[in-house]
Amino acid sequence: MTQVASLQITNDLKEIARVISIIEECSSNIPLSFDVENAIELSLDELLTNIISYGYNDNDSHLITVDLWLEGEDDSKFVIIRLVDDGVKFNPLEKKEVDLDLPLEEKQIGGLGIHLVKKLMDELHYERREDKNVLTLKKKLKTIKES
Amino acid sequence: MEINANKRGEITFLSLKGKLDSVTSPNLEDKLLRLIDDDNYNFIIDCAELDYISSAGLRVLLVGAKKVKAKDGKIKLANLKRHIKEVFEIAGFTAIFELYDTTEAAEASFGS
Repeated sequence: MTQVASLQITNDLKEIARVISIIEECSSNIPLSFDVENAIELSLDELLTNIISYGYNDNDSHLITVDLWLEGEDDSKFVIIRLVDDGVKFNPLEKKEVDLDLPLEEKQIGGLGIHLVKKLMDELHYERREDKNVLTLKKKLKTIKES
Repeated sequence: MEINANKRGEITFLSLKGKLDSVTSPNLEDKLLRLIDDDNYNFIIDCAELDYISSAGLRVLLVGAKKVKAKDGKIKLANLKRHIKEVFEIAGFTAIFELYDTTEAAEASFGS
């Protein structure tokens, strides 16, 4: 396991840009393929926006932890991202699947962010631990042959 | 995010440059809704320089598409980068938006 990034942000939407710029920097150092980087950025953007917008019932300042590390070797390397927040219990895996086949008039935007995350990541794991939401995302790195 | 608009005939062209995320999407929403209020119902959005889209950006496009449809108009998109197109596909948006490789092709499709 190789730790790549570990940071804490406050529950302010403006903080997301800071997370993204750190991820971009890490991506070029590792380096990650453009597709993997975009999948991670989009997933973090969607999940952090959800946490910050809907996760808190008070007006206090809260900390959200974002950790990113690499696991595995050679042909099976993964990027793991872990988000920990002390917001209201929210398990994105329990969210109802969005119906993608609805016509324009009935199409709903709710749940689309989570849907994107589920499709872009290879694995998601949720756990409620000591009044905190712990969400772990796993994304397989492409081998050089595939990319 | 940079948004440029100009009108040619019955079609309003919007070009987007940069990121369409939760911070920048309200700008596009304001612009789009104002144009619709001013009786513009047919749009071509040029995404050649759009680098990123999140569900917040998709939401604005959906709101716009619903509004123009009520007036028999359409929002068509052109020049989507591969990774943006992938997000459209995952979101099921390729079924509700016509996507074209060029703005010219999108424009020609309005004529037919």
